[in-house]
Amino acid sequence: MLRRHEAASQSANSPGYRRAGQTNADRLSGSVLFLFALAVIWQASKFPFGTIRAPDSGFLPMSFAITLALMSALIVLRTWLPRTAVTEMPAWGGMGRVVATVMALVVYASAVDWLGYLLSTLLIMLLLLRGIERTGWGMSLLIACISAVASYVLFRQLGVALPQGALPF
Amino acid sequence: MPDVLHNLALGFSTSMTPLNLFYCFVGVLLGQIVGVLPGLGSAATIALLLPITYYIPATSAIIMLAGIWYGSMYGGSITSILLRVPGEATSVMTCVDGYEMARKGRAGPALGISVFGSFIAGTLGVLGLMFLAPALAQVALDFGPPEYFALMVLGLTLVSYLASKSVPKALCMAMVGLVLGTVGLDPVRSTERFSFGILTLQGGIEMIPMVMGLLGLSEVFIMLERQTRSEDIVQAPAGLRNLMPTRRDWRDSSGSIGRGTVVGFLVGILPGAGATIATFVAYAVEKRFSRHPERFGTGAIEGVAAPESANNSATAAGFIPLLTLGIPGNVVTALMLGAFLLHGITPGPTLLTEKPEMFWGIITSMYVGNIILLVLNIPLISLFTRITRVPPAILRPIIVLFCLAGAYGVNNNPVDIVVMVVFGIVGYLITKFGYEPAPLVLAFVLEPMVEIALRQSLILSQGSFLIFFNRPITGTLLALALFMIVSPLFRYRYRLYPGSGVPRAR
Repeated sequence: MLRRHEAASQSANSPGYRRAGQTNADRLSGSVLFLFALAVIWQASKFPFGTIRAPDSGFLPMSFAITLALMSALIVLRTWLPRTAVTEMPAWGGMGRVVATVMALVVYASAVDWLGYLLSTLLIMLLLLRGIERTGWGMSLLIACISAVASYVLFRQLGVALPQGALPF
Repeated sequence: MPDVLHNLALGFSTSMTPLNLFYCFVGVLLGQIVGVLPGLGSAATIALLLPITYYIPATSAIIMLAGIWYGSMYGGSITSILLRVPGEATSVMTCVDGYEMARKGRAGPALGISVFGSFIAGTLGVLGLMFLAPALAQVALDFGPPEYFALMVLGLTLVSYLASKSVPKALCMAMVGLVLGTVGLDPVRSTERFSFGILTLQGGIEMIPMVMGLLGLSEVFIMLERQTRSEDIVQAPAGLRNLMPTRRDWRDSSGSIGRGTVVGFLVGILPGAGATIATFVAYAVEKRFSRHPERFGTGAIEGVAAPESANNSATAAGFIPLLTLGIPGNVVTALMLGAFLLHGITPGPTLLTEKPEMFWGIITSMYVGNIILLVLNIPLISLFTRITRVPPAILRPIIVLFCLAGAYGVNNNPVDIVVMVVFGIVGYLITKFGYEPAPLVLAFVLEPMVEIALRQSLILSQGSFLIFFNRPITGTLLALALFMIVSPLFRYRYRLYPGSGVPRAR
């Protein structure tokens, strides 16, 4: 017997389409890209540009950035056109877990060299499985141990030099 | 003819070595598994495995990565048919009739025809690749920097026009990728650009942590954000027995497999189009030529056979630009170009003459891989459906682990982990705002080649831009690109209607 799966998870993440004026997600993303383009133009203006006939180091970065500025301006401006499909402002409901994971990864990056691969990987896996995913303690410990050891053996086998750390393992 | 046999013998002597057979098996098995898993795509998986390819021989590495790609085409249809949840973007079209067939109790034949269709199209596609690639490589030997420049411009334009929901957004992403590609030393004059005195940036942004973040880690973030309720965990039915299509099914779908194969191959060669567009076109062609178009959408087996064949022949065709011109046409082949470059090999027209054992080894491995996939799928399909039961709560940390070990392993530098996390956040944000990372990655990989080709062309012509217009191939390609940019008439725009899981042309 087949169970009909409601693709709720799909819609949660697809950009929605509404009429212009109702949302401003495109205005925000377009503006950020426009500012990025301006920053690139400012930096690229310091490189030797050369001439059209003999372009130098600054020529292409400048051309790319100008195109980016034009395109991002178009994204912002067209939100004022009537009947344009614009992206709905995304929801940020599940952000907590994303932020927590990012912080864990940054801590991992700063600790891996002195804690060693095995110990720091065991700890981050435990944190991700138990702390963020809310898997049971027993299961979390089991998977963290297996995955840390298995990945260590696999990568060592392939010849990847993983840090031993201050501890002897 | 003796040439063909000689090349095949050379190829099989490479692809049938125990080591290469092992990597081929690993590749297709992984492809099959990630194909089944919704959320994790083949591009993300290839990105995750790129660091490993650093440590294995170049030919084995490409054989494995190729296996992941075409293997995922087999796996992607399973959840499309059983649950109406496409495992890959390339199986979205399969949902339409595949799921209807399953609702009518014909899940077995639907899965069966998708496996056989995939096998037939995959094999014919490789045959096409085998005959077309050497001929194109021969032509490409005469290409100079202007031709390469024009091809890359056209490729990037096509990617933005064909493979995305919004053209300005895709072009923005391509431009960001090009800008990021200029970081580091200028390839011609060695001027430092955008490195801000940071040593890590002087050599340019490291590709591996970047793509792992953009394609791999960002997927984890997106999956994390969704609340996993119990009903979201996909449950596949157990106990599938009869996969064999009936004689009538074969009669109905044999033409569709043939047409799907041809359409998929032709669309697959185009830069930017790729396997996903191939399935849309194949489905549309099938419906257009059917004597009973009204049956489509109600469980017509042709509606499964055509797109499932098309995506497989499209993957084989997708190797043509990479192996003969050295230009990737989509994000997956861009990652493979990255794997080639990691080994100091530049694919292109000279690959065939300089490393024939590698060229033919990769091609023949695809015959082997398709046979492995057929043999795996027929008895084990109900086992593969159970992969969907792996809880995301366990899957996500394991993907993160792969990202961490891979990013760190490249240079033993924790800074690479930070680079990966930064691009993970970028990938997550751009996806949330309706942009796609694929044009960014492709443009990033192409940038040094674009820059060298442009500047060499201008040196050749002593500064005259006319060189791009008075050479016939270059002129045609650039005119085509220009036409694409100015003409909104040629836009194929498909998008997923939220919640429906079914694409419609607009």
